[in-house]
Amino acid sequence: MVGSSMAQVKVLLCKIGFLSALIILTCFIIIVVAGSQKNHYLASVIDKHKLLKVTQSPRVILVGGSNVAFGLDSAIIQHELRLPVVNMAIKATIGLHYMLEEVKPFIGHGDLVMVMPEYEQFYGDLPNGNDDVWLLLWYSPDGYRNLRSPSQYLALLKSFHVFMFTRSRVAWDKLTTVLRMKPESKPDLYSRSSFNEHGDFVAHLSLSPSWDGCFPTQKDETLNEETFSSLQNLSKYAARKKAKMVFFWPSIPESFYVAQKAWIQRIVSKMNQYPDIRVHGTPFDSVLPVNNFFDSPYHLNATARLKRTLAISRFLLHMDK
Amino acid sequence: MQFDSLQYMVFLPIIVTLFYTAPAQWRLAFLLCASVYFYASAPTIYVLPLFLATLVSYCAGILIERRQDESARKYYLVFAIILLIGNLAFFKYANFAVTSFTTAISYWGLSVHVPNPNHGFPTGISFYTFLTIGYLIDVYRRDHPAEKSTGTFALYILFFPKLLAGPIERSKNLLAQLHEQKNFDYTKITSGMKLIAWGLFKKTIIANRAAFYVDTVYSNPTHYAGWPLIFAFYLYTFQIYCDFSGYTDIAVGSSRMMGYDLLENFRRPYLASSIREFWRRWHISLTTWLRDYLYLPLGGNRVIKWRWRFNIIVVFVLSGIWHGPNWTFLAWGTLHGVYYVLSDGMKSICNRIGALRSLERFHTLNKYAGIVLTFHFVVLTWIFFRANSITDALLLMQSASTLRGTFNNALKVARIDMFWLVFWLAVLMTVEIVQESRSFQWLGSSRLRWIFYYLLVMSLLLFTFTSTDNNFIYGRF
Repeated sequence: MVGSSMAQVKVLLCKIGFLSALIILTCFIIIVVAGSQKNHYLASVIDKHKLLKVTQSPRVILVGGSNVAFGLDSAIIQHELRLPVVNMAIKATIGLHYMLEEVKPFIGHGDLVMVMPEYEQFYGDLPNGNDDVWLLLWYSPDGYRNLRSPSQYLALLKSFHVFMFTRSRVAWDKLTTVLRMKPESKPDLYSRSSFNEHGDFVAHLSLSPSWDGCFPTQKDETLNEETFSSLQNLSKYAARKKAKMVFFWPSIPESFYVAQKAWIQRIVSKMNQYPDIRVHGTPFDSVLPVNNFFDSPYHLNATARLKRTLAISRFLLHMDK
Repeated sequence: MQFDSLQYMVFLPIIVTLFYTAPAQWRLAFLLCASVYFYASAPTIYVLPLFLATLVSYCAGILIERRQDESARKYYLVFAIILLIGNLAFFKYANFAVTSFTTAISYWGLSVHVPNPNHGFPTGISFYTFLTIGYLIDVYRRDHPAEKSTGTFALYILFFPKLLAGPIERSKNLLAQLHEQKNFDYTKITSGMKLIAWGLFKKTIIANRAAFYVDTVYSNPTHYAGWPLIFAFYLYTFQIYCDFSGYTDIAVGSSRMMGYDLLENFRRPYLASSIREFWRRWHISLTTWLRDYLYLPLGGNRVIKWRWRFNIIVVFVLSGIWHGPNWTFLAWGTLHGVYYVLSDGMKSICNRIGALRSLERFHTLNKYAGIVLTFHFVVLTWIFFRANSITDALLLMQSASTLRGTFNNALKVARIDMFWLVFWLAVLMTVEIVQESRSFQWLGSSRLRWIFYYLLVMSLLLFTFTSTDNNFIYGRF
């Protein structure tokens, strides 16, 4: 390039640099103003990690999305198995890879790791997580260790704008509250304080169901191979540590199962190709009536939660007998 | 690789940087490699028709130029066009033809097993078929010499910014530019970047957000009635415009960053005051292609009235079929053709009234009434374009005409999302109206420009809307 072109390149780079600096500064201000919401649903990761660190092996570790957080009663499992239970489940959108990597370093001798991911974790990009991972990293900065694959980093990068959008809304809410343009909002049902000492979500147990029976149509038809290999790796890792990993199908309503039967069956067929993963039952075994769900096709209400917990703990109790 | 993907946002700056730092004699080869890489993610079967079209048009171009005998030249041209159309027909229309044939004969109680060539649409096939046909006709008419360099010709077909969804280039424009040496040009680079940002705004902030609502409604035509449907009709009108013109802006901007100017494809079409004007502003590269290579050879308007009407209908029907093998596209094209012919008759009546009453105001009023009328006609025709079948389109129109229905929760679209969508549409239309009334440099002072760019980038960062199915609509054609 000739001299005049070089000068133009410098001007261009300076202008791009200046605009980028302005954007980064704005993002920084938004994040600072939004601050930390101590009672945020995802902030429960702090308590769950603390619990996982202090609970000695052998123990039961529950892994999955919100279906596990909402749908199991750890106290019953603890009582039945006479082992302490830690429910690590928060939300499906943090991605299955993250969830599995999160518990991996803590697996010890005699532990029983129960994995029950949502069906969506087997398709498309969900196992790599979405913008919720950013917030999770905000509450638990050590969580970057759970990002192992390039696809997880790519998913993180892709979702940065969504993270910024939610932060800007929080910042806006805070500003309008401070300036008294808006009354202070009531605490959300989905909050950190809604979990009990085991990490189970319990705030919904006394509430009446609000699910309208609708479920999203599954558009993504590409099975995510990495999900199966991640599960297999964890299973092998657990075996090396003299621990066990058991896979359960999540509970879903009958209508969802009927509508998505072929879509679910593809997961089952693929799962059969991984003999190292110990799978309990079939998806059909976990199907429940529509009125057993609280506010989504994965969140069980109190009655169904009890029924499901008893069934699972009975299985775990007699698993190797 | 999608234009609005993170991969492309990394790919483009790398390609532009390497393009300008590479020695001048290697730049075209480098661009060709980049274009092949860009298309490489497509299934192998999709590469075959692209390869065939490139090979056929390259060889035919040289053969046509070499021969002096007019009949031989014509023979090569027709033969090559048949091959290119055959290529398009096999890969794009064979499924449709087989299905339509079996359905038609089953109507008469007959049943024949015809093997269905069940392959998908090779990406961009309609665009590069028209590109190659246009090139061959230009060579035949001696408007442009045949390209001798295989690499340059392959790049003309494969040039990544316009490969998937145009603009449908002309040899006089792009092929001629490929022979020029491109040096770093600050003005072109920044202008290209601005266009890309504006294109991303249209695609990711408006089109993707609108698609969420529109797809819900159009995939359940029996579920909705009245206002939610009417709202969906208007939204789709903006969705398709923002999707396609957003794509074009990114394509033109990307190309401009490397010094190549692609053809203009959109000129604020929804501000057109007649259907004739609309087609001078919408998908300009296709319209001018059809004008130069189909309408004018058919006789254009230098024929008797009924023949002219016939020519117009033929052009619009073909324009509809070009979009894909579906009766809905045919209906869309035919409706435009019929309206074009009818509006010509209306125009002369309006002009007579205006002249008769000698009203200055009448012309202004006529213009605004024309904008509203044309816009609503276009909204109506998009229903056919978007619906899954003609039956669905008619059902949707019938359900919408009840003027009942409420925006109930069944739509699952948050009110705040709707607010933002309407807000961004207002921003888009404001910018377009200002652009229409002034030159492109409507932001005079540099401070104002910086504020605009800053807000544009921040909007892209905060309001980009993504879901699992945000492919470009015209990427399917």
